[in-house]
Amino acid sequence: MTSTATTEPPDSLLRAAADEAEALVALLNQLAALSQERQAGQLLAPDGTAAEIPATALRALQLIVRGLSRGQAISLVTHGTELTTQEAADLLHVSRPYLVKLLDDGTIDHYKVGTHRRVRIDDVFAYRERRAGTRGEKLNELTRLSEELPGGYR
Amino acid sequence: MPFAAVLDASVLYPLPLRDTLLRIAETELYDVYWSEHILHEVVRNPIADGRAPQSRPGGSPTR
Repeated sequence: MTSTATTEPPDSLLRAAADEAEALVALLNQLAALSQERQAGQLLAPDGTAAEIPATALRALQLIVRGLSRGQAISLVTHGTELTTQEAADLLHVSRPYLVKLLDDGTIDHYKVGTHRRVRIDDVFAYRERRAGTRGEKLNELTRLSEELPGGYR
Repeated sequence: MPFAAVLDASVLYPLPLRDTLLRIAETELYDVYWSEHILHEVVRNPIADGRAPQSRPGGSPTR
């Protein structure tokens, strides 16, 4: 984020204009069809040159357009490679005290800058993946236990 | 940011409903919350109804 000079603040707040509603819905449908078909898209310039839209960018575009088409405001936040405890807590949808507990018991690695804790974003993503795995396993176990109850699954 | 929802015993007790709501929460469509009190109610009722034995392993759900 250093090479391009821009007047845009790093955290952008966006909302659709009133006359954009129709185009947004049309674009949203197009994006949905595209992502179902092949997980990547193409951006076609008026002069015919095409650039590939990778799956991650396509997903980002979909999320933005979906929100805008519903009349919601969108805020885009870019994260560096190191996060404060509050940023990490927000990303994981947990409270800051709970995140600090995860740092203190060693569940997520951290280091200190002066007296402040910092968390690497890679470690946050790794924890998020582990958590998703555990959730999936526990839910499957819960379903299995439910099916074993007398009277069956009801 | 997805919205938050408290799942009460009334929706956690019926198994298909519980499963569905938790599986939706798993996709992070919303943030799920409950309390110790709610969990106790969820565990107590199947025992009271005779659907679950008293000492079932894994019978007390944790987060």
